[in-house]
Amino acid sequence: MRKLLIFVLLLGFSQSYAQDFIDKAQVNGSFQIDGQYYQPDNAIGIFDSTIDGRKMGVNGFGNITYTLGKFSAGVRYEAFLTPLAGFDPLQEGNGFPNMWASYQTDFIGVTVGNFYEQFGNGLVLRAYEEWTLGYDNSINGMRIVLRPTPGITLKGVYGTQRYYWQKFENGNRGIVRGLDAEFDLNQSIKSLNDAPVRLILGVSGVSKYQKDKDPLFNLPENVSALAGRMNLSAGKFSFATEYAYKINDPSAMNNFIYREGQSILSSLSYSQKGLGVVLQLKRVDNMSFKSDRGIDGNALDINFIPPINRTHSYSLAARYPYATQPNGEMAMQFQLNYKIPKGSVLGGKYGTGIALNFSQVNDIVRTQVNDSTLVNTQGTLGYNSDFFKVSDHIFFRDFNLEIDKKINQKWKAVVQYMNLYYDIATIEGHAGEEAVKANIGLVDITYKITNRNSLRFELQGLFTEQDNGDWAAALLEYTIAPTWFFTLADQYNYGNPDKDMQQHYYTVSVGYVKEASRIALTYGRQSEGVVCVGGVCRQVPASSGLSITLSTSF
Amino acid sequence: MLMKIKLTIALLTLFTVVFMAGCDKIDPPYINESGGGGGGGEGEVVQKVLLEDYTGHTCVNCPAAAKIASDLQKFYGEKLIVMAVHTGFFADPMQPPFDTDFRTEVGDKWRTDFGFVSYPSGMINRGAEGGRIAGKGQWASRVDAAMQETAKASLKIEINYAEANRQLALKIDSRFLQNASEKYLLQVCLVEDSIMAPQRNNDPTVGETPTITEYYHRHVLRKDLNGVNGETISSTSIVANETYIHEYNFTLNTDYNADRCSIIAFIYREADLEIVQVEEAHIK
Repeated sequence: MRKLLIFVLLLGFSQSYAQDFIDKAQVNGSFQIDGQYYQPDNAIGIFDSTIDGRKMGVNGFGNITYTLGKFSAGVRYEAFLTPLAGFDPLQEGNGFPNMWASYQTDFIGVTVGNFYEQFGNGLVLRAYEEWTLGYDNSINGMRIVLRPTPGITLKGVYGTQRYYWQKFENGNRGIVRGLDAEFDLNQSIKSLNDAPVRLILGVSGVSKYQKDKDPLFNLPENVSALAGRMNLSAGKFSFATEYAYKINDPSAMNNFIYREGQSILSSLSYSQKGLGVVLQLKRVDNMSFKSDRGIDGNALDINFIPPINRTHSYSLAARYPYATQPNGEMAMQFQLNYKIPKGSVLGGKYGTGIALNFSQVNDIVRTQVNDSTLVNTQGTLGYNSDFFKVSDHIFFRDFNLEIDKKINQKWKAVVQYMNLYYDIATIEGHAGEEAVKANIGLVDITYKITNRNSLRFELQGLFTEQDNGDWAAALLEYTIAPTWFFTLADQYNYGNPDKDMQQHYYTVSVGYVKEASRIALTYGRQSEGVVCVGGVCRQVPASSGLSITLSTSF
Repeated sequence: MLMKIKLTIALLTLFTVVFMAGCDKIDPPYINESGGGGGGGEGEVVQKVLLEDYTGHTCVNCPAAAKIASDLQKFYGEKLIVMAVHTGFFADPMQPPFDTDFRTEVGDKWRTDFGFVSYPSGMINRGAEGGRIAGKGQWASRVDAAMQETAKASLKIEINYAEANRQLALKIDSRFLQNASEKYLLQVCLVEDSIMAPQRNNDPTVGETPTITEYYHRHVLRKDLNGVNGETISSTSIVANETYIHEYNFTLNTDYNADRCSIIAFIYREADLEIVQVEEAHIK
């Protein structure tokens, strides 16, 4: 593939367009280096043996994109030498994992090499990269996008997915092929171009091929998934829904059962100035879809189940994030955003923002396929499940209320309360541990000293009798806009039932920003936890030391 | 425009046909009944395979992995040898009932050398193709692939056990089928089977959750008998059909049940660490 790309580049260069190749071209790039120097810190369980000689870890990448008219090509370099703590050791290595070339016109787009793609909400296909998780399931192959008439888009993909640094060979993972068709009725039919009611319909089909090399099971070598979706909007209302179905796909993820998979995601929203309301519902049943049936970690996912929970940014509010359960979950979320108008009693001079959010995720109900077969027994149909029944088993519940208020030219504040139920046994695999029931409160106050200088102060508390008990956190940040910031922060696990683990996790940071470049240095401790992006999570071990992040783009 | 619409319809039809034809709906039976054991005529050297199961008593997914290993052993019979290596965080002794300690110096060394992080994971003949460390869902296909390899060597274990003083005398014969200039090592280990102790579990089809109180830990690695990396089979080039003899004497720990102990010996290539032959023999 690399040779082909180089050939394509050279071919273009060797033509009489050599001068255009340079003068009329555009080159863009982005780089990031995350490094950490680790030090033993016996109080939080980091010994020399934990570090095991690996005193430094570095994760870095560079993306370069070359564009000349309708042609573009790019490379991505990555280095994990050694991977930072908490990243999969399979990341270790350096090189150019991704290279691609593309040609795009109004009618057709062709890409060869590595690419990212999503059909609809991703229920049957989503190839994406998430740096903070060390996740990349990009497809190495070919993609064609056709736009035969206005409002109609057809996509076809064919290839294999990235699995760290492992080359695809000898059928060591499956081949993915997919088609998506989207019809925007308002764009397709001229008379409906400006209609107040807008409708977009889409259908997707994805199939994987993986040879059956398993001696125990009689496995399907071709597994298909189909999905249909609709986006309907009328005035201030909009409704979106997608349903996906997958045929039998026994895998390590579902304990090699032969049940089909289903998933539905629906969203109803209302929006007007100062008010937004969203209601979302989701049902997932046996919908893990990977291009290697033997893998059970965060890799080689063909599809993506979107989470419908609020993503929290404050450290203690984000301490127990929800990880999507692709084997089965029923979820709902309600979100209300209201801006109390300026000049009213509660709104004051600048108005007051209120965000109310509630989400809950339960298990689905599973019953035995017959009297003699336990639920989810491998080599069987697994279980029966009533589509509309909700299990009493709660995985996750989050009620939170946030108020943000600009008090005057100098002061503004954010106050948040959160009530959490977190089934740590299911989400983090801590079998036998009681679910975490927590109350979390926080205030975030910003004081603008001058136009360029500001102070921000955070105070948070997490109160629970489960897991590691109570936490308190404080942060003070001084910003000299637009270039410098200095941060002092501490998380204190004062309620840990293990007295020895009632530790402070302090950090001191300094950062410098200039144009598109950013450098940040942090010294201190990182507590053990989980980081999730889009319902996909990775464990973060406790660490101590000096870290640096450097990023730039052009 | 009409041409483009026709093209669109043609492409959609083509893909629909491909997708409809591209589905393999499997009907029962889902499990292959015929076993993969046996094999090897008289005098023929049978390729055996070692499945190393890296595990721990607080690892909730490990009983499901142990069941896969057990199912594979039933399928392949004596051709598949299983060794459970208890090491890492999930094997650490904790508050009762998880206060047993199955960790070994050799297991801890292998864990760090091979880079085990997530559990359950394993190695099949320590083969590197497709990644040396394999999740439990990959074990069956990897074991099957390893079974297809042509045997390069044979191993024979002779055990003389004196029950009175628990003295063990081992004689291990290694014989290669072809000349070899590469360096090979012999690793000899003691394992104990079916030790009852509590185990965390989250798979109700395997046992009670969240803890199986009376769990039988299978094929538990107890110790190495010739160093964590074994020892060189021959200081000179390997000569085909020559028998290389290694002998060991040791006293069996009184904590171990001799009725359930066995010796696992394997030959591996130093260059890529891949195991080329393995054998197991019961002490009694």
